[in-house]
Amino acid sequence: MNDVLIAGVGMVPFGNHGPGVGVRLGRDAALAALEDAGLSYRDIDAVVVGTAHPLSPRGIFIAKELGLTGVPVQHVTNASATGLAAVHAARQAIRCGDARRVLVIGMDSPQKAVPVEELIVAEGNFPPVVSFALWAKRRMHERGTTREHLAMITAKNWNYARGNPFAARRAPEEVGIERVLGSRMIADPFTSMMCTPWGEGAAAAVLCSEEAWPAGSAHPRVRLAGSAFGSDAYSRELILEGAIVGPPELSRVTTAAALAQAGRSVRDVDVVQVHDAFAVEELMYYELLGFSEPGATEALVEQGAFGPGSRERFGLPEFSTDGGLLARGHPGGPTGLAQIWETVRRLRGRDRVGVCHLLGAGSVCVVQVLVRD
Amino acid sequence: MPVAQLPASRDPVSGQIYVPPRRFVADGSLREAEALAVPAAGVLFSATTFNGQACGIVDLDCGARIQTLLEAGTDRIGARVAAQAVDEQGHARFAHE
Repeated sequence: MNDVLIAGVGMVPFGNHGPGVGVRLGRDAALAALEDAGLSYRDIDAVVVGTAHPLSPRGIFIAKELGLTGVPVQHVTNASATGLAAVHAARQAIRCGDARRVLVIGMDSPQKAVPVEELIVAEGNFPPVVSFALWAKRRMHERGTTREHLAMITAKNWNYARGNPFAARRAPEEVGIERVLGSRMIADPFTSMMCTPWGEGAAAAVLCSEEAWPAGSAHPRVRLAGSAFGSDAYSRELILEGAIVGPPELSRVTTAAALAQAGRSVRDVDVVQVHDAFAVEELMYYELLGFSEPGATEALVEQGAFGPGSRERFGLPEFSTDGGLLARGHPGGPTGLAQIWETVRRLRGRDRVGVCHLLGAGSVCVVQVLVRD
Repeated sequence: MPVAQLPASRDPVSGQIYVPPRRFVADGSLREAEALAVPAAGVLFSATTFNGQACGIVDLDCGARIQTLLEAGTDRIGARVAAQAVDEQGHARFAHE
């Protein structure tokens, strides 16, 4: 099997771009990733495009904007996990030798303005916010978690987004928990600032084999060292209808598998991106991904763990360092590529090991481990 | 008050009960599940309100967990709940007993 490296990343701002601009957004993100890699589209021998919204344009139309070179163009869709699922497919192609360099594009901007939540409900689900509010209310009942804990995590992610030029939500001033708690109530206990804004956008990455690493690249080599993909297994806790995702246990199992593939443990991890579409999720992933023990997590949040300086102060990674789904945004298809973008950015700096985690409605889970040489 | 019955199915080998019913059992063997009905009664696992609509998760006495609509004011997590009627789609609205 070939090793898989990430030679370049690029993205466009997430936000309210409106419908009908998916091809342009995807093209621009792809151009940014190719430029970052120091490559042209001629150097690419396969393309994988991910969209979550069924009314976003198919990937072939983005690829044809970039060139008419006859390469295979695969379209991947897997709800919120689409972006990482597209990366997973590209990784498989390189590992088995089918491709040397793969351009992966995540994009969403539907041709018609149909809200994604409307589509999710049409599939027989409750709105996503309901399922995760139910996670939160149970956690509050069992553990004594408070709305303030959720607001602390939310404020952390909004404040990270203030430094991200591509974030959908960029507050002009430092965000405090009072502002989070004072925003509009959506579904108890979530206020609007504790819920993802969705939106539109695009992000991309160039994956390659070791021997196809761009000759002129000055970037440190970042390896996609593990990629695990799972779906719900039966348990008594599995809700068969209406819930957007299955039991949280799926995240634990999939993360453990990805870390094992990479030959790393949670103690090695410097930075983590998770599916923090609703504030309680990130809190639960601290434990499910193995970074905190039940009973200790809320106190760690109160002390500022998982935020800036967490590695130095607590020996724990920073989470959602680009603002996460809560503040960077969650257009669906590009979300996973935005996680890759941010993790590569961090690993080109002082961090060595990063984890990306996404759930997708249904439910599926993809977790990837990135390691800098 | 009478308790409604929910459509369900059961794995004849493992005894797993599925609400709503599944045609095949969960283990991938493609064994057919048996149809049955289960009482719409259990314990409230969680509850919230969205757009004025009460929603919750109920651990049914049969062992299955469902996400469901609730009657307004049904919010005591850990307390007993039940439904007295099921609509044409097989859905119930639970309230505290």
